[in-house]
Amino acid sequence: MRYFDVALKDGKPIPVSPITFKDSPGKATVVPVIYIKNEVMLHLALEAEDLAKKIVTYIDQINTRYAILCTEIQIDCDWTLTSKETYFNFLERLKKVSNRKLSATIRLHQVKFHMNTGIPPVDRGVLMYYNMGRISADSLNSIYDPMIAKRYTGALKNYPLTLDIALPVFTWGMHIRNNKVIALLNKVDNAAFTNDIHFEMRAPSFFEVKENVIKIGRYFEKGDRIKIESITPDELEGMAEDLSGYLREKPQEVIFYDLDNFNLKHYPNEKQFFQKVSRYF
Amino acid sequence: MKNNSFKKSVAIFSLIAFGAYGGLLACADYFWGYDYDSSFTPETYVDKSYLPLFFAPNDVFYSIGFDSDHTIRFNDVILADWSGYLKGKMTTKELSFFLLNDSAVTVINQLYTAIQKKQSPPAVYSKLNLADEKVRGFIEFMYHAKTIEVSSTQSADSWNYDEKKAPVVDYKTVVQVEKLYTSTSDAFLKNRYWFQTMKAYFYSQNKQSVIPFFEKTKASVPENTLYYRGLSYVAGAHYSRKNYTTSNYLYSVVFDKCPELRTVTAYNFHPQEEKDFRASLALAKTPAEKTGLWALFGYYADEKTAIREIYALNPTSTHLDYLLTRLVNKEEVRLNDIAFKSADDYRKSMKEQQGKDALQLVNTIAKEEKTGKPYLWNIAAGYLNIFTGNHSLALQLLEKGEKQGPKTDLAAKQIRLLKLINTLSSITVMDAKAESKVHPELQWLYITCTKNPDDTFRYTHALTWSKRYISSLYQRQQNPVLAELFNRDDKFYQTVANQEAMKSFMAKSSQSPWEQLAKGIYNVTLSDIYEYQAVMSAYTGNLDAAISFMEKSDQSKDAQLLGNPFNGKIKDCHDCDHAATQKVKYTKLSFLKKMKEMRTFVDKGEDVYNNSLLLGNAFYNMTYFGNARVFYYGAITNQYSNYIDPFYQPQLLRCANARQYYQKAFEAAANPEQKAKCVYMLAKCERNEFYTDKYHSANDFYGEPEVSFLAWDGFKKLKNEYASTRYYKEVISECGYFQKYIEGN
Repeated sequence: MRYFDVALKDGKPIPVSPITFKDSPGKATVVPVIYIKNEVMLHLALEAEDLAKKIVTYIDQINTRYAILCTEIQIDCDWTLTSKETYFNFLERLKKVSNRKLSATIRLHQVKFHMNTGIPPVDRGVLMYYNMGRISADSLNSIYDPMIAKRYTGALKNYPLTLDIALPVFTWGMHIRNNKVIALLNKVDNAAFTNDIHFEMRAPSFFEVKENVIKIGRYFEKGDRIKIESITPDELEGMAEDLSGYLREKPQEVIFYDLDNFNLKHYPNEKQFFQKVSRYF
Repeated sequence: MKNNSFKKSVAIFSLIAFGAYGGLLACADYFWGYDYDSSFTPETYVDKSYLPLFFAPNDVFYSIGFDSDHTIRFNDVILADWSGYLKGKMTTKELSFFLLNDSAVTVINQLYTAIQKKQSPPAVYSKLNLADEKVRGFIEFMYHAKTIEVSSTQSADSWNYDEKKAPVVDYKTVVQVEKLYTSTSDAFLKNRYWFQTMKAYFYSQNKQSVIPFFEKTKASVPENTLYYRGLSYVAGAHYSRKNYTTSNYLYSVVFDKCPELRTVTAYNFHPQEEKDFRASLALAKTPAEKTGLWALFGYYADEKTAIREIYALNPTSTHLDYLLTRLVNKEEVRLNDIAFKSADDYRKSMKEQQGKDALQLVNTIAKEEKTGKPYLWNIAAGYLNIFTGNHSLALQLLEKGEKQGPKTDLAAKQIRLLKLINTLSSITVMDAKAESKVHPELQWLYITCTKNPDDTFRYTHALTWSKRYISSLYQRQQNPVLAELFNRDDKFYQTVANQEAMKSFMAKSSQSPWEQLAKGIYNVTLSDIYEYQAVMSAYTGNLDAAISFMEKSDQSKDAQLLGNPFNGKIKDCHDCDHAATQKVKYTKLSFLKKMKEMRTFVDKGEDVYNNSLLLGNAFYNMTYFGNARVFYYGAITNQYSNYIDPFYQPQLLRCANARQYYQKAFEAAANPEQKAKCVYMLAKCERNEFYTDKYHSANDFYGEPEVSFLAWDGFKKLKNEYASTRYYKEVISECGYFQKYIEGN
């Protein structure tokens, strides 16, 4: 569960949009996910130990307020070669300070090029098996592209860290102007545009704006395009089947990102369906 | 092997630059500045209250990025207001402390208690006359204001989660402060108690209660800054219950009337659907209110529509100024991003792709001269007409705007730049007349502007564009030297003809002022060209030519190599070679001379084995895989990274020269030890060729091959024919690949 992000403000790391609950989730055990922007790890004067302590205290405060139990912390950071050292040092400190199980998200390129990008010092990794393509105006799917996946999956056998798997269960749109993506439209699907006279479907998942209009809090200009990207149930099954063949060991967990009411409605009989997908591993 | 830079990795990482939680991240790793693709500086003409709203497609707000002034925006106003009210009854320092410092709360409480209990103030403040009605009024006011402030001034960057939930203002405080508002007769204080009551309601348990209080009192409140700050709370209350129609309408009123809150209101103005905006428009009662709404619509959605509507309602509205600069900036950024191959191509695509609506709109309004700043419209129209190719009209409009416009330094620079762009883009042939026309202007742009950089003035695009434009004209006129001087082309020095042409130009004793300008902005020197010729000759094996060229490269001939370039180790370790003690430190020139000396021995048949082996090592080390990369580093080759340009791959990645000498050494070897060494060196060459074919020459080479070795011929020979040599054993202990090969076979 996403707890908060960490970004830089005036050269200092700060927590951004922390989670709030309307009602306490009850005596549930959750894994808080903290997204740390790479800029934080690139900051020269970063005090890793201090940041680790602040993050743990902050998580504890949230847990205490809502009576949540947590035995694991997950860090999501798209680290780069230049931030690797700081990030790994931070993870080591965090592990010590938190005294909890620590996991970190791993992107496909970090698996393939682990000789350069390094292995984060954590208990487990979570392979983000999505967002593999470029966010672009073309007809490719940036969430999942089997051709791109193929380039990386071979390297999974040699990846030394134990991996859980995160699969994409989301739909989003891209607002395209002059052939450039100018915004991502979160939680937007075909249905948002099919019955609106300002938009016309030109190709599957591509809409063209017929008339200037304000919609979903954005301004669409005549001639703009919208591209909807999603993962169909069949594709998701295919991904799971495909990926399972490349893993060194069976994942302990299969995470579906992001299971909320909006995304769930695109998968009929969701409970059975997600169980079925999980069984591929 | 050393991988010391990762040029290509940047591209790979950028593919996956999105966080897990959606939202379009600013993917650009570097900020190129607003003038990367713009030549029109909005600051020149527009009031600074609009500054954050200038066009900045990659930022939330222009220049400031985010609005972080929430708790300090009105500091100066508040201090000035109270200074005026108290008229010296407190020092500015004291007043500033009470008003703006969080730690003042303790003292204020003490003073408030002293007033309530009719005691004298604490010793430090003994000079304060608490009997004075205004001083007393101030302290009492501050006491309540500080209580309410606890709920309104939450710091957004706290690591204390419990602080995130701001405490609400309690009901008792709300009642008390409203009572003070009602009972106070002093107009200054009453106005401020009204604002505090608004604030208290807004931050109370029931945010919505601010609405009826405002409705009840609004008629009696002066429409000053406090009023509009209060009105923002009403807008916020409507927003919080998703009544976007009303909240957007109210924010637009505040935007229109209160310049200090323009950034805040622009941020909060957020129609979700078309009908929200139409409904807000229906709520706007006066032309001024409608103007405010369209002004925000222009920021949020479409400048052109907003300009048309506002112009019809009130042509002198200042909102038009910032909307016009947004329109111009948007238009120029779009056009300036279009790549062009030639000057003709440039002019054609500008004309074709220019937004006709925008041009017509600006032309019409400029012509009518009914706005508050006719000069701004004339200048904007002048600029847009340059893209159309109407150069005489453009000049006319720019000159008119110049006459009417402000006489600031920035305005002068802006007009000068636009005129320069106009003049230059009207030129189709670079002849003496054209050169003299633009020479002083380019001198100013290239030299004066860059020497005295001005953070605001946008000149960088014009700088790079003008060079490209002039270069393309020279290209067409078949003057490659001047074309190159204005726009550096990586391929230029790849022909000997060009190398010699540029050398002649550089060596020319009399250069025209125009040529001097061109030479002055060029970053390759005569020495660089000689160095380049020397290095390229060395790779062809022509050491005589290489030495002769290198001798003329006064800036590079003495550049030292980092390691001994004649080393030929089992394992390539650049760092080790660089760190090792070197009795002789070779320079680029002395290295070549030594090679020449050895070759003379080989040619004469003297000590052929040793000299050939050393020459093999030298050629090996001159490649990307060797310890003497410095040899090929230079301003022209520009091959500093792991990625080698295909043009230089034969020289820097291939091993032909080294192979030739290792083979020669092998043939001259006197014993199995010597032969084993040559065989192994040849295996290294073979390995490098394999890396080159499989990885380095591929476009998506990243830096770490998956397959690191094969059973090279050299390995096989070493195992089959020289297993009894000492060298064989050394290779086993030092070279892991060879060890693996032996184990597997």
